[in-house]
Amino acid sequence: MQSLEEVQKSFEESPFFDHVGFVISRFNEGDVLLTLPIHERLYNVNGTLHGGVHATMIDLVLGMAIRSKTRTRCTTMNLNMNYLAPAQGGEIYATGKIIQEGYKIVTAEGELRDQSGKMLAKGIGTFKLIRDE
Amino acid sequence: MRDFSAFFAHIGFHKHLDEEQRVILELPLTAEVLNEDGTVPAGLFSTMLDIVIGSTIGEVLQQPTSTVNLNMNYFDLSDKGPYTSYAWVTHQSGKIVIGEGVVEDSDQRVVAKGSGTFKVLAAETKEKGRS
Repeated sequence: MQSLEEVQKSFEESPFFDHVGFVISRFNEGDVLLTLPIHERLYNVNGTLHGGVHATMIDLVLGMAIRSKTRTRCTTMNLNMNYLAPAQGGEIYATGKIIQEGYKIVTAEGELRDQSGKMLAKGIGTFKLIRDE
Repeated sequence: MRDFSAFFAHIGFHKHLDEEQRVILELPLTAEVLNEDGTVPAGLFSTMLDIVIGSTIGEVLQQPTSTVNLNMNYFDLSDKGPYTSYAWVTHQSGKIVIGEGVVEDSDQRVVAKGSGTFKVLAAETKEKGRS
């Protein structure tokens, strides 16, 4: 079983994680805070954060919450995103929590907030745990 | 189709209209957009579906849109790119439009599918289309 530090490191070593610019601010078992400083390269044509970034961040934080708890690799099966408000400048924060954990299937939900605490997006995802046997 | 966004360029997407005037979104994978284990981040397919459904609606209605909801299913996240994505409009009621889209791998197998609800914005807000 991977240690918590090894799990965190595997996320931080992902080229895509770095390419978008995510920062892990807190990584405890089942308690993860993901931060994203908003850069103009992440904008859509309207000059606000691209919806794909919202979905990417929720997907990541859900996967991180699951792996920090199960210490098992997982893959996303489904993600349902609701977009509540646009984001522009500053930082945004994502948190996630497991709401149901089975042997192979885990469901988790997460939310995205800006620096004022305003909720920007919510998502719920189903993940498959990749067990060795 | 209107100009492309900064994030669109940052990821490395390409977009064009095919002979049937469908929006085709392409992603030639590079190492910098993969996970550390070489798999495709689900967020990449989420981004593709958001762009291709929104662009398709923008092309059909000639008006800008914003995403309200996206529901996505991922079937295969192993690296089998380059990927191609296209979408279609399934329903429109007033300012609300629903679309669906798929992402196909290099063998034209569907590796992700999504449906989304989009709000139509005032035409003067921005040019039509999105990315």
